Amino acid sequence: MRFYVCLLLITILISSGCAPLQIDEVILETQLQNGQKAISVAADSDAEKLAADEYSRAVKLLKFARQAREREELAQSMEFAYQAELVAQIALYKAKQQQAQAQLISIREQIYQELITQKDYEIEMVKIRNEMKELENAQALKEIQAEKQRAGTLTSDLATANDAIRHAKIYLWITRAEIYVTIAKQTFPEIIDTAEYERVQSTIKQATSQLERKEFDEAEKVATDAQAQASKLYEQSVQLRNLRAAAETAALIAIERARLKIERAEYLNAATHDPKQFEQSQNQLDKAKKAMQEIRYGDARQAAEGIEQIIDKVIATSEIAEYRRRAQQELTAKIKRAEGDVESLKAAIAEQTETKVPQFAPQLFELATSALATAEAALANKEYSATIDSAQQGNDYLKRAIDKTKQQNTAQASLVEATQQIPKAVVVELEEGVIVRISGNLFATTSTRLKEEYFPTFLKLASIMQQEGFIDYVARIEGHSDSLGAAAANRALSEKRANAVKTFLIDRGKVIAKRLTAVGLGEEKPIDKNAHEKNRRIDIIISKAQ
Amino acid sequence: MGKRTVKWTIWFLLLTVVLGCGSTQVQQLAIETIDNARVSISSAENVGARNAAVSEMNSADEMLKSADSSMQSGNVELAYRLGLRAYLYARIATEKALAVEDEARVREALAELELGQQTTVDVFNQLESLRKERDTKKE
Repeated sequence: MRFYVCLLLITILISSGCAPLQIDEVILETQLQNGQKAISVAADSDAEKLAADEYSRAVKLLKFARQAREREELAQSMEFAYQAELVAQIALYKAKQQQAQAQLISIREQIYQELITQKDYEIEMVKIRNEMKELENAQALKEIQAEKQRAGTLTSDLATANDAIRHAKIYLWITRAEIYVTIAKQTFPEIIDTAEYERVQSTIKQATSQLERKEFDEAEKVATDAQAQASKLYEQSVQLRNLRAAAETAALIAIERARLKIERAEYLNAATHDPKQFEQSQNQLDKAKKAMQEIRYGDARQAAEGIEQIIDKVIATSEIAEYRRRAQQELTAKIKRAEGDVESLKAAIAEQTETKVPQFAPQLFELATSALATAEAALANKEYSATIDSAQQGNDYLKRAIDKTKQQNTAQASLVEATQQIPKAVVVELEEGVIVRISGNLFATTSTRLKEEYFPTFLKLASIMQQEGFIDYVARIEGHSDSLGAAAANRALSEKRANAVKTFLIDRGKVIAKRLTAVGLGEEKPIDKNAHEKNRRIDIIISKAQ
Repeated sequence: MGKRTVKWTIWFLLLTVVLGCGSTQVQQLAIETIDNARVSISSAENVGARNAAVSEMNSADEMLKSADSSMQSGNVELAYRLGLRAYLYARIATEKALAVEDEARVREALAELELGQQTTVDVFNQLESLRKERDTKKE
C-alpha cells in the first residue's frame, strides 16, 4: 500500500512540473473505459478481497484520472487511466494466484483425505487377511486332526491287510501241495496206497486247521513242509509210472516180436511143416496177451520170450521145407513158360511169313527167326531161362519188324497220294516208292529245253520232295526216247533231257543235288512199241534213301 | 528470487527517488524509474515470465527500450513515463507468471487427486473382494 502511495505522489509531482501534452478526447475516453474494464475483470476474479492493495490502487488511479479530466488536465487523466488499467491487471493476476493457492490447499486436503481413506481400507484389509489366516489355520488344524484319524485307520487296515496276505500266502502253499497230490494220483493212481501219501495228507490237514485258527507262524511252517512232501510224492509217482511204462513197453515189444515170428512161421506154412510146435507157440502167445490185459507185464514178457525160443526152431524147419517146395513149383512153372514162349513165337513168325513184314523189315524178321532157333535149342538142352530170354528177344525183334512195316505202309500211301496231285503225270506204285511218269512232248524235237507248260508239273514234284514226311527220299530221273533215229543218239538225247529236268528241280524247285540222280536210257525201255509219244517220257523214281 | 525480496527492492528504490524529489530533479527520477523497470524485468524473467507472459514481457521490453531512447534524446519526462510503464508491464508479467505457475500446480494436484481417488476405488474393491472371501470362508 505504501509503495503505491509513493508511486502516486511521485507521479503527481512529475505531472505538475511538466508541460501538459495534447490529448485527444476520444483516446482518453477509450483509455478510461479500458481502465474501468480491467478493474471490472479483476473484480470478477474477486481481486477486491484477494488483492485488495492493487485493486484499491487501481480504483483510486481511475478516480484521479476522472478528476484530472474534469480539471481538463487530459494528459494527466490519460496517464492515470493507463496506470489504472495496468494496476488492475496486476490485481487480477494476484487474485488468480490467491485463488489457485486456495484451490491447491483444498485439493491437497482432498488428496490427504483420499490417502487416509486408502489407509483405512488397507488397515481393514490387513485385519481381514489376519482373520482369514486364522480361519485357514483353524481349517488346517481340523485337517491335520482328520489326517491323524485317517492315519490311525490306515494303520489298522494295514495290519488287517498283512494278515490277509499271510493267509493268502499260506493258503497258496497248501493249495499247491494239494495240486501236487492230485497230479501224483493222476500220474500213478496206486500212490494212494503208500505211506508217503498218508503222511502228506496228514500234514496238509494240520496246516489247514492251523490256518483256520489264524496261527500263522505255525501254519506257515507246516504248509511249507506239506508243499515239499507233496512235491516229493509227485516225483515218486512219476518214477513209478515210468517204471511201469518201461515194463509195459518191454512186454509189448516181446509180444510183438513173438507175433511177427509166428506170422512168419505161418507164411512158411509151419502149420503143415511143424504143426505141434506151431500150435504150442500160438497158445503161448494167447497167454502172454492175457497177462498183458491183466497188467502182469513181467509174466507177459516172460511168456513172449519163451515163444521166441520155440518159434525160431519152427521157422528154421519150415524155411527149409518151404524152400524145397517153392523151388519145385518155380521150376515147373518155368518149363511151362519156356515151352509156351517158344510155341507162341513160332506161331507169330509163321503168321507174319505171308505178309509184307519179311519184305519191308527183312533183317529184323531174320533176327526173330534166329532167336526162335536159339530158344528151341535151349529148350532141348533144358536151359529154360535161356529159352525164355531167347523167346522174349525173338518176340521183340518180330514186334519191331511189324512196327516198321506198318510205318512204311503208311509212308508209301502218303507218297502215292501226294504224287497223284502232280499235273500231267501218271503214278506207278512200286513195292517201295513210286514212279512219276510224264509222257509226251516235254521238249521240242531234238531239244533239251523243257517246255514251260511242264514247269508246274516239276515244281509240284519238287514241293512234295521238300515236305517233311519225304525229306529222306531220293529221286532217280530216267530219260526215255522213242525208237526213231539212231539208238546212240537217242540215248545221248535222253540223258541230256534227264539232266535238264534235274537242273530244273535244283534251280527252280530248290531240291538239293545229292538227292537227285539222272540217267538216259534211250529207247531201251519202251512202254508201248507202237506208241512213240508214250515212249518219249521222263520217269522219276522216288524211293526212301538207303 | 522471492516475491517479498522483489517488493522490498522496489520499495527501497522508490524511497531513494522520493528523497531525491526534494531536489525536484526529474531527470534523476526518470533514471531511477528506468532502473526500477530493468530490475522488475529481471525479476519477472526469474519467475519464468518469458514463457508464461510473452506479450507483457514484450511490452515491458519495448517500453524500457523507448524510455532509454527518450532519455538519451533528452526527453526526460517521456522517459520517466515510459520507464514507469515498463515497470508496470514487468510487474504484470511477474504476477501472471506466478499465477500460471500456481494454476499448473493446481492442475497437477487435481491429477494427483484423481489418481488418488481411483486408487481409493481400487483399494475399496480389493477390500470388498476380501470381505466376500472372508464371508465365504466363514460359511
